[in-house]
Amino acid sequence: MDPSLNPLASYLPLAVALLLAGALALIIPSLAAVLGPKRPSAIKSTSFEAGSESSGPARQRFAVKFYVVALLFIVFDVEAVFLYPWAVNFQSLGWFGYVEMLVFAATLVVGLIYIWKKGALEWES
Amino acid sequence: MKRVLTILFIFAIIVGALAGVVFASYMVGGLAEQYLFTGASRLTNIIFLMLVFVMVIATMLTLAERKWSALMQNRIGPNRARIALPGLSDKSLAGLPHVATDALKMLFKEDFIPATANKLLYNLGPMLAFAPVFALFAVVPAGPSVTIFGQRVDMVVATPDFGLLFIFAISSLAVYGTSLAGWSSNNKFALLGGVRASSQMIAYEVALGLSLVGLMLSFSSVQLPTLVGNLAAELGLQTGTGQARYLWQFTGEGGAFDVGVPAWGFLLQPLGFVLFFAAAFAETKRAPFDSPEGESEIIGYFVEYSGMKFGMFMISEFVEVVILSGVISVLFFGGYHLPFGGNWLANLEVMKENGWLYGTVLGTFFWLKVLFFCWLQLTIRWTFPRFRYDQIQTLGWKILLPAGLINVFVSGALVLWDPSLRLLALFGLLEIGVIVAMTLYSPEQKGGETHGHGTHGAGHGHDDHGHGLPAHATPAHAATTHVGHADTHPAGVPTTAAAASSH
Repeated sequence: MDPSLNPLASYLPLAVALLLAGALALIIPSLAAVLGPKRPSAIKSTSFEAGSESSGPARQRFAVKFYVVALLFIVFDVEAVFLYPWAVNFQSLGWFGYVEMLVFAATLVVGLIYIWKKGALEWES
Repeated sequence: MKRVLTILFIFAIIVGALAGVVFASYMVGGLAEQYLFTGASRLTNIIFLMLVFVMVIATMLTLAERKWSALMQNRIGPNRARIALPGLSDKSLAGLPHVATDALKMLFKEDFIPATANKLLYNLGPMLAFAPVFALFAVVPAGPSVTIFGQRVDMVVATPDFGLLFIFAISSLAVYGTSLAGWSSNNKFALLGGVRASSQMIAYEVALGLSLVGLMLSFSSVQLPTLVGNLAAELGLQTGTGQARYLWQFTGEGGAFDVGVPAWGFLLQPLGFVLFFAAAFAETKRAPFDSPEGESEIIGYFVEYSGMKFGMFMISEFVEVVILSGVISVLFFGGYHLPFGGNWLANLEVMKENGWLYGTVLGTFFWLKVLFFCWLQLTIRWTFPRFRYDQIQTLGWKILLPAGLINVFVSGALVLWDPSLRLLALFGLLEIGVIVAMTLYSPEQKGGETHGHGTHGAGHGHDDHGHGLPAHATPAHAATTHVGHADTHPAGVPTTAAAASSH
């Protein structure tokens, strides 16, 4: 944008902003921890389960129904990442690049249709 | 009449306040450039844009949301907090003191950690939810680059080449805070909320990534200032760049008031806009995508959090609303540019001589756009019922993802066909027409069907195929069952009662 700013100068404010975000996220709860009262009690420190007594710890095994979808998610998210550099250079790549990416996306779409027909996207069956 | 005047007065105060702070940020930026070092205005922008604008608007939204929901539900809303000063103690001040009392209450509440929780991760949760969201605004340009005191002042914190990728990467980090908060609380309800949050994330994230590819290939860039573009008058050229150029220009020859069709993102990519808005709305975890929180019914991931740690989750949600509004304005609504008359304004003598004035006008316009989209999000949040977790999956994988892929390749073909983007804009107008038509004439509205899916017109249209959603209880079905059991329901529909009596 500005030719007078070298890359380092345009990244440095970004680093400062990230540091500030981290510092704020650290300071605000710490401030509350210092300012607030401390009155722990046995009842208060049990886990809150809608007013009834807790029926044991939450560290239990339970069915994660969406693990197939989660695997599919990684595939398609990586596809989206591949699309970004292609999209930025799209107009210089021309029709050749268009067809190349169409072939690449088509293989993934076939996978999506397959997993759709297999019923991996149906949770309530 | 008095009410209209009051509303106009409040609008004038809002515009005035925005203009004042934009003016101050430009002037402080100019002073910093002159008396400190080159690039110092970027650091003052961090204070003004991120700490003043984003944080103050986000804080005000906590009140605006309550007031607006009250208005929508025919209530008065918060009006009890008062300031104990003479002349103010009997005025509710539109609930403004509630903002201060909320902040004070959260600061002075007990910093409580459940005994069974994992202390490190429990403390890390709210920080991880807040920090990435807060850092996002660093790449969003909030005003034009102008010359003040002979120094160039940009109204943006950083202009990295990877602007959009930064937004995608950092905004996705926030889900770690949510999941960690749910798991570390060692509470079954919180754990389920955290799992719902991660399942929601895998549903919308792909569509979010795909929705902007059409925009990237139209403008061949992911850098936000490039996407916003510069006016022809600012560059001294015949045509502008990015979204600041006209697709069709009708008037404006030789410094006259220019009117035309600007190359704004929502004209080129209406479907991309709808997809991005739906997916990014899911990222803010607000209704209709609030299944991770479920404030009143299904209990969310932050059930064990109180005081300021809960406040961090809450404020990061509102900061997300502001930043999403800013990103939408920049990507789809021309950033800080006016829809028409931009070149005329930039060519005015008074604007050329006073860079701060030009910056203040356009910067205020940018923040007005942001406020509009904040309002739109509040309205959506209080209009639509919540999606069930599997409906979010259906929406994300069966509607948004195929629509996103189709959008990428149709837009790509149109861009290659006509690099001036006019064909894409015409197709965009067609898309807008189809979306509006499908919203107006959707079968759901005719049948009066219960709907908890498809926030937008595109969603409604694709839902016709029927995915076997259990929520599909159409009145037609209900009517047939009534006829079938007419003898057991004498108080049924009059026609069925008549049929029963004729037996």
